[in-house]
Amino acid sequence: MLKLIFASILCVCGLRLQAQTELLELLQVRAQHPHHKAVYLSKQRVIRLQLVDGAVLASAHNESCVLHLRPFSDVHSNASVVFSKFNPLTNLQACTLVPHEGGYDTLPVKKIVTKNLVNQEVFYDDYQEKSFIFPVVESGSRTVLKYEETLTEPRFLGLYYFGAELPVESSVFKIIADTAIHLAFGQFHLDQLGQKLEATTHEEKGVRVYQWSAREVPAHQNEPQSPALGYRAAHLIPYITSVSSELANPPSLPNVAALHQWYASLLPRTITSQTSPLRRLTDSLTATAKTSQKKAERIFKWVQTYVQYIAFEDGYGGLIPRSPDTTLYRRYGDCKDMSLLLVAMLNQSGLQAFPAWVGTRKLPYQYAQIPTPIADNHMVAALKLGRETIFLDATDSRLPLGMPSAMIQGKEALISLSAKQFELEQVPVVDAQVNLFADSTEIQLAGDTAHLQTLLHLGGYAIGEWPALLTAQDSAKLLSRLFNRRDLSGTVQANDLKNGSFEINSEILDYSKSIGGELYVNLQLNRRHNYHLFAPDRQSEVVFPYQFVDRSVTVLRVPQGWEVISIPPDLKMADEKFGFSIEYEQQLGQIIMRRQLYLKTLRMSKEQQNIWNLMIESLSSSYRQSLLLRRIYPKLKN
Amino acid sequence: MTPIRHIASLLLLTIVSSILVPLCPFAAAPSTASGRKVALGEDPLLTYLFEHERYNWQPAHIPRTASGQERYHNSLTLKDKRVVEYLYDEADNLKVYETVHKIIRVNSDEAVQQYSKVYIPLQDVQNIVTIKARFINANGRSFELSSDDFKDLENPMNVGAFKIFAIVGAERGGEIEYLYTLERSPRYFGRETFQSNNAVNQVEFEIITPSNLIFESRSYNGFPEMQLLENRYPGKNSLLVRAAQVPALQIENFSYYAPNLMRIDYKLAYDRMESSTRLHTWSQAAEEVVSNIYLHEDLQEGQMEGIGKLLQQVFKGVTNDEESKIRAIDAYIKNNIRQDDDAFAHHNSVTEVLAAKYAGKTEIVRLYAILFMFSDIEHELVLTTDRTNVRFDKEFETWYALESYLFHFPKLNKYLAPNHVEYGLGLVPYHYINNAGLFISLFQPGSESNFSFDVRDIPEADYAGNTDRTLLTVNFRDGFDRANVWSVRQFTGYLAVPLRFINNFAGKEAKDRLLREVVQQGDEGAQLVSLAVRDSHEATGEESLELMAELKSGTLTEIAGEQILVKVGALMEQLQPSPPTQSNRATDLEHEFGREKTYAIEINIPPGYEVRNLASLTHEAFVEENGVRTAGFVTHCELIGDKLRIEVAEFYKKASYSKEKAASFAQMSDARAQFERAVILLAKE
Repeated sequence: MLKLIFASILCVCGLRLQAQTELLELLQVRAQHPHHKAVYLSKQRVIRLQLVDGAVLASAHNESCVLHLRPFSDVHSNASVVFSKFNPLTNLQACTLVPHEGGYDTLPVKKIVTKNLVNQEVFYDDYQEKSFIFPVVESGSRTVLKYEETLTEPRFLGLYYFGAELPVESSVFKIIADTAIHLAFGQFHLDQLGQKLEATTHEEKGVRVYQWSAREVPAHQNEPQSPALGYRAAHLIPYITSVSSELANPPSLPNVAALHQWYASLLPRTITSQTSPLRRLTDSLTATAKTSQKKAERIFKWVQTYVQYIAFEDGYGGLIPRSPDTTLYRRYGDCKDMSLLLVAMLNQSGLQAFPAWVGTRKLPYQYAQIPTPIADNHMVAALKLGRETIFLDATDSRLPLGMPSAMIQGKEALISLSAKQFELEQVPVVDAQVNLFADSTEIQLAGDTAHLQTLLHLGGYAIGEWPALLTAQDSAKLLSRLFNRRDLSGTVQANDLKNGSFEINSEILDYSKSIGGELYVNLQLNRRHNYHLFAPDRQSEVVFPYQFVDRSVTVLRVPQGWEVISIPPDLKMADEKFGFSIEYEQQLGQIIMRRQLYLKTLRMSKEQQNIWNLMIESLSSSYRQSLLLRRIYPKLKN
Repeated sequence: MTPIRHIASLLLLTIVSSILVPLCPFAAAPSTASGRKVALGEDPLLTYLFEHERYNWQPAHIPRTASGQERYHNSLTLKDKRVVEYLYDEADNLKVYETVHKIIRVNSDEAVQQYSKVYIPLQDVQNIVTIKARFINANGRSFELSSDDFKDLENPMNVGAFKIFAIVGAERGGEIEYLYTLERSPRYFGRETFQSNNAVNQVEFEIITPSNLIFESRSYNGFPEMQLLENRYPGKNSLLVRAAQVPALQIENFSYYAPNLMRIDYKLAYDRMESSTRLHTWSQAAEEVVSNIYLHEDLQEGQMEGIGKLLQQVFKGVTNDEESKIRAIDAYIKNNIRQDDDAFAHHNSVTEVLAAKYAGKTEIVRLYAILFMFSDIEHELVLTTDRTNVRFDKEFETWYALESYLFHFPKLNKYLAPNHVEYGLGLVPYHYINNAGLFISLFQPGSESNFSFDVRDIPEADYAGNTDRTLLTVNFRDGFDRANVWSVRQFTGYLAVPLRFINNFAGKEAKDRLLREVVQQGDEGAQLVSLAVRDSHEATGEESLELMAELKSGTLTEIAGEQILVKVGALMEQLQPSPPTQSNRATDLEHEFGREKTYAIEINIPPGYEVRNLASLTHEAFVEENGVRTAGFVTHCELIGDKLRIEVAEFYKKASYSKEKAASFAQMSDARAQFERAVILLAKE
């Protein structure tokens, strides 16, 4: 019944309805969505693919209708549509339908503003948005948006999410393609829609019509540390696999080979420059390097240090890299420019290196599933050293050679060996032991003040987490973050930057508590992960930037005149993916606490989160266990 | 400054200037004058349109080696020259040419990153006369940008166009240099800021005008004043200032950065060709504002009738006192008319606004003004600045200071912020208080004018109206690992505003999370058993919001054998970060508003245990000015039977304190830190 009502609303936005029905419907939809201020009654995208004069022409029609349910739903009255040179907009129409005397008044949006989108990552971006405000957005009104896109590059047909930030009652994705144009579809998480999704295909008058219709799609959740939307929301990705017609430049991408062939055609013809500045620079950097590893290290370090990441995304400029000579001259570039410069310099030094496209971990796709540009968004250099492939990402200036950037761990790279040859290789996930946070502290008590001498060693991605250590500025803030406690004061001294080692001298006032003849000292100095819990009602997986191991050692020299009465118990909890252990040891007038915590996964399921929470509760509880010492009074001589 | 902050500050500049456009559409246009083409001093045969038409940079050279102190700076601006020249064109229209020339020595990779992306706002720019940029490396090699390297951003964030470019070839040890001249439509006010977090050498700022136009300026925060030179260019006036060095100003806690930077505000003060009347005075500004807000439209009979009907609807069930009426109008507009923060106006009339139910910022002010006027509610319209950006200077009449609107109701002595939906009558964003403003009121009886105006202070809010009071009852019913805590936390005034906004507008997920964090008070491990919110504002109009929660806190206790340490300080959340206590500050102490935070904690001692170390819970420290305690931290405890009662109060009565007082905050900070570290022992009897 409801479906019928919605369908009719969709068709007749503007047609008169009975006031009674409309109020009833509003109340029904309200009851179904107690936590939302508005819902999409419908949203739809229709792509039209035609063969015209030996070329594929692509366009899309988009349409949506939102019903506003409650007061303050005007937070949804601001709307915008994003576009770029690849999808210029035409015929954008927006209006509000306001119930009036049993029908609707149509109030059009009058003013539409075009703005450039500015983001921190990209210096110049051709992405723009048309933004506007719907008038009279209040309980009971409907806001309708329609626009057309010209898809200037048929290799980018985009993707379609059935859901949205609000619940969607009816969601339709449709492609109408000339029968000569053959398509494939990447289908992701459609099983979530179950019986509420209907898919049909039919042919009519020289076109093939593909349609997916879904109803009652819940709103997208957005919890902190969640995987990107593509990992968890139902969506479709269409792409052209072939065109049964002679075309000069068919935009079909049937497989990875075709994608690579197209990508390779966008690369500068010669990557390895013989021009003197690049050669001179490379030679000077590598002249005294005795091994390939050393050569690669020096070249990588130079590009990381002296070439800035400044990205210009301007139409095909977002796809076609600048030549290495240009990047070297400019001393800046985007990921493609920096990667090609690295490839050219590594090749110049006699090493084998190749450009490689890769999707960051925000993208869930593999090239075999989706052999289109939607599968990637980044480029790195792939260096072949012996049997090993090393991925070099100069956009991260802190990475050592051999470590890929954290954001591409575990992802598939498309390595271009030549114009026709390529290989797919998985970027390694860096082992937890590499990403080490290890602190070792000796506590000296002077009264109740603890003087702390700490050696801190960071490895792998853990170094990048702490850029402030390298400048050692604002020590108080840095210390409180490093140790997850706010009572530390002191100085940080960079000991050996290259190996990530640091010396820290600090103190904590009133650290020990001497009350009566007893002394209480807590050896859990570093409180990392204290109450690092995930909400019990959380829906989505947790994503971690990298695997890690944390080690912490605290040594207390038992002060003269005191004896140890009570030591907290040891504790251990081990799971395949994560765990921790705490051990106390008393030896030669010292008490030593050793603690280790590890995480050996990048994603954590709901079930694992429950176990993690148990572990963290236990860990946090043990952080609050103190040593008890008692003063030794000299025996009185008779 | 990071690139994103760099663009943000440029965007801010553009936003500020854009506010003036609707505010002063009739800003006095100066008359024409002779001397269209001018001869440059040295060569009478060469004529130029404006003095700096042929201004150029020096040929590429090997940069001077950085001297002793300079080496320790990330970067150093070697030249910062800015010239604004007003002149009449062939058609006697006033034009402005603005020339900027900067040279920045970059000593580190961070500085290279910071300065190699440049954004030039082009709002009101009719023509780019010159734009060039280059990098000169340590060896003297020059990398000049080609025309392709300059890109256009048409309208980022809806603040007008920008020209942007990235410096080519930049590396540490060299100099980034750029020079541009823009032809603009004239502005009669301006602001130039010369100080940043890096030192600047060779600062020069000059305003050149035809001799009939007289500009005035005022320098702030120790920057030298501009001097009027009538003979520097024939037939022209020059207002000039040079500073060999402008020291860096670093960001300091407990103060606002922007208002403390060295800067100049300037305005056109006279057009001698026309008359000797002073221009752009507060009086003229008030007239413009009255015209723009109250007399913007000629309300026809039908429209007036519509407004009358609307007011009948708005006042339905509302008592006939002025405060209730104001609250009813405020609630109607804020609940029914959506404000477009990106625009000043969308519609032709108030009637259109009421029909469309959304409006630009100026239209919202007009709607309030008209509804107050029709309801005979006595009010003043106030224009002021955001004091966290720049303070309102009562002495210098620049319309640049007329940024934001407030209403003031003299009978109630309360303010209202029409453009801030989260605030109601009696509370306006703290940016506007503890400041001054231009107050305009209509229809003074017996006056010839239909308005009067006054420039006076906007006082800060009474600290006692901004409170955060917590009652905590602590039990150890389930053992010592987790304490059972019953918490009632009540907020008033400014401290209630963000929570009320979250409570009313945030999505369920965000609201649950944020309110949970508020009752946890920094004890992130505390488990929330139950939570209820009571907003007395809805029922009584009082500005208090109360959160009642049951928690299980694990951070309160530490266990050593059979002894229990209770960390009372762990129950406390800092009112705000302590003011810095060092005495060598560059800036005065300033924060949002005066406030008070209190705790009343009751700990029920379990049977069989006795309390030791109670003395550690008693502290007090104050900041005194002229015998008055203007800030303080006080704690007190007593044991009554098996109940330990602890009271804590921390207060700041003022929003600002002189920098000389910084050191006297040390004792207060110490007392608080000691209390936060305080521990009592529960020992078996």
